[in-house]
Amino acid sequence: MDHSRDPCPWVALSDFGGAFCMGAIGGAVWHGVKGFRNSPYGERRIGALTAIKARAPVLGGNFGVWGGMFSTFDCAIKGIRKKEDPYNAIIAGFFTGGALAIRGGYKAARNSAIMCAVFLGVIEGVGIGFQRMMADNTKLELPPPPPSEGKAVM
Amino acid sequence: MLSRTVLPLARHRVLTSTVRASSLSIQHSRLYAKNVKPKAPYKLPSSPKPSQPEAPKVTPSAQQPEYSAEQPEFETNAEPETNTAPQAPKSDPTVTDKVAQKPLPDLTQGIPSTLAAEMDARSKKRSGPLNLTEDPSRGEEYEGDGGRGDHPKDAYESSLDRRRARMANVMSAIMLTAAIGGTVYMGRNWDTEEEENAHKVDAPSGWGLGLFYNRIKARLGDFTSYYKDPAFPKLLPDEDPKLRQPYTLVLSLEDLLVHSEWSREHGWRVAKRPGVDYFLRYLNQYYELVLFTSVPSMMADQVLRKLDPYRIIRWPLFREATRYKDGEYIKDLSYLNRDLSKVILIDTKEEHARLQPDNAIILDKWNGDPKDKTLVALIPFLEYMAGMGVEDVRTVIQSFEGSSIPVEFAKREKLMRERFENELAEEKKKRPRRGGLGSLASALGVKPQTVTGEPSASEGLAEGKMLWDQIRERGQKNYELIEKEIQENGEKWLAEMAAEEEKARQEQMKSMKGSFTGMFGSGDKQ
Repeated sequence: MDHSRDPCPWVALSDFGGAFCMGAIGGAVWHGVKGFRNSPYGERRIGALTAIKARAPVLGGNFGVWGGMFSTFDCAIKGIRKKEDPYNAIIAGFFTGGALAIRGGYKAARNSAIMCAVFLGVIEGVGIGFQRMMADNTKLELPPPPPSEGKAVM
Repeated sequence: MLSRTVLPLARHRVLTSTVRASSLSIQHSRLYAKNVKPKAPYKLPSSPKPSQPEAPKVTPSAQQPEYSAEQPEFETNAEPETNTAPQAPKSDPTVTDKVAQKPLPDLTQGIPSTLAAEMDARSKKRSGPLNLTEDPSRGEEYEGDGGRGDHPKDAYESSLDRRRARMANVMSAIMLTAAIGGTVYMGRNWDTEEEENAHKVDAPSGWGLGLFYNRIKARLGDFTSYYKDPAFPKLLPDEDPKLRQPYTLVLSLEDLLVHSEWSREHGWRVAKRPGVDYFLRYLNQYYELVLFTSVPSMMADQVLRKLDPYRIIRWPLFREATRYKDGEYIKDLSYLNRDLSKVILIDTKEEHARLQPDNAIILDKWNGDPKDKTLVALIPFLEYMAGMGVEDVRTVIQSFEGSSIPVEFAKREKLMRERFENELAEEKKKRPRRGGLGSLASALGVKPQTVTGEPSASEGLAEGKMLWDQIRERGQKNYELIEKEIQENGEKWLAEMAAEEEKARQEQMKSMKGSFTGMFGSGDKQ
């Protein structure tokens, strides 16, 4: 029913693309400023452009890999658990963090996985808290007494 | 302290005595490195007296630490050259020689690359002449650095590692203490009288592990219930029962009224179930319609607006109104603020109705089949329940358990009709009296479900019609009235509602703007 996201096997693809775009755009801004500031006068524009060209796609790729992997794990966990709750995201974050740090060895993978799971737990928690806060707006009230404001009430 | 005050003196001697040829190489001790620049001599030594016999006495002191407390060299008048400990005596000259032998690079042709030299030095694993900071005489000690010594790399423990480990220990100790303290705090006795009374049964005050555990559980439960329970204790507002329909029909959204599908070409698309408009408009006259969905309001609201633009569904309830338990969103009807004997829940998932299964009619999910008739087929049953004023819907729903409600209801209706007709026939035999013939077929023709009732109804007498038939007739008329009203005034209503919404939105914007300017206060608002 969540129409803002695609259904499961496809969501990994769209998440990868979305995360890549996010990283590439954010990286362009970030490395543009950085390249601009770190270039000598007279070469600031070309310095910024060079930094963007060299670094923004890399950052985008990093983001994209993270997003795609997270989404894949999320789908896999949804399929296995057959439930839709915040633990899906937390477990998926755990595996994503671990998988991305696996080349650093067992210890690095473990630490990164825990950090990632905690991070996603915080995000989910904030989301739930926010939703609960917004829920107060959905309180139903009786309409004002004259029922002639367009309701198809008998 | 002594060395500091004496040092300028000592350095001065070096200067004055450099003219003398010395057997030792011109080596400055590291101790003196900072004070190379001599200060103005305020006291010139009257006569530099070379004290030859003392020299051999000083040389062995090279093995001693440089910063000795006694500092015997300052107690004599010996020349600094003779007094200084010889350092790195052997290898130093060779190194300086090597450097000196190299021809100076021709810098007019550009700066020569040092890469080759660096690579060379690295391949020899030696810190060659490029190394400025390390003492070449101790080259062997430095070489062991990269873990290539006789110890494996992890046998070394740097001070950083040690500090880190200590910090980790301290942190875990703090966390453990905090956890224990927090647990004890959570399990403390109830502070106030009312808390005490509220938990008198499940978690009373007192000592004991079990009691502690119970109190912790009760406190955590109080905290999480804010997130897990329905947002309001009364989901629907209080209302005089005479001003509304006596029965309440609670409907689910997804796969009951609509079905959403995703395809790569079109993305998400939502389909209305066949007959859903008729279902809602027809039953509106008997039931207070409530939409109760486990989808968050952000998502479901848009669908609902499209599905029901005239707001025939009176109250929309979303995920915020559900209770979250064991990983499921449960629709707890006891929060509905309505008499449960007059509430019917129609849903597609059994878990949603776990708390009040007697009130629930569980239908199969609609998977988008355009020939589906389930909703319309359900109307006679629902109409009968409300029209006949059933005392308690739960017993009726229970009696249909395990069977398809439309089919079973049609069967029962047929039985009832036969019995009624028999009675009528007997009555007619006693005193034959004919009234107006009411052919209802034309009036009822719109309804597919009247197929079951049609033949007997058409042949029945006007007063011979069952009460239930008359109700149905009246319902049909009402429905047609509503339909006509909507067709005539629908556009107007929609425009009115849109205008109203627009007004509310602008009002909200205005108030928000006001609060912003108030917050970041420019003075004119005061």
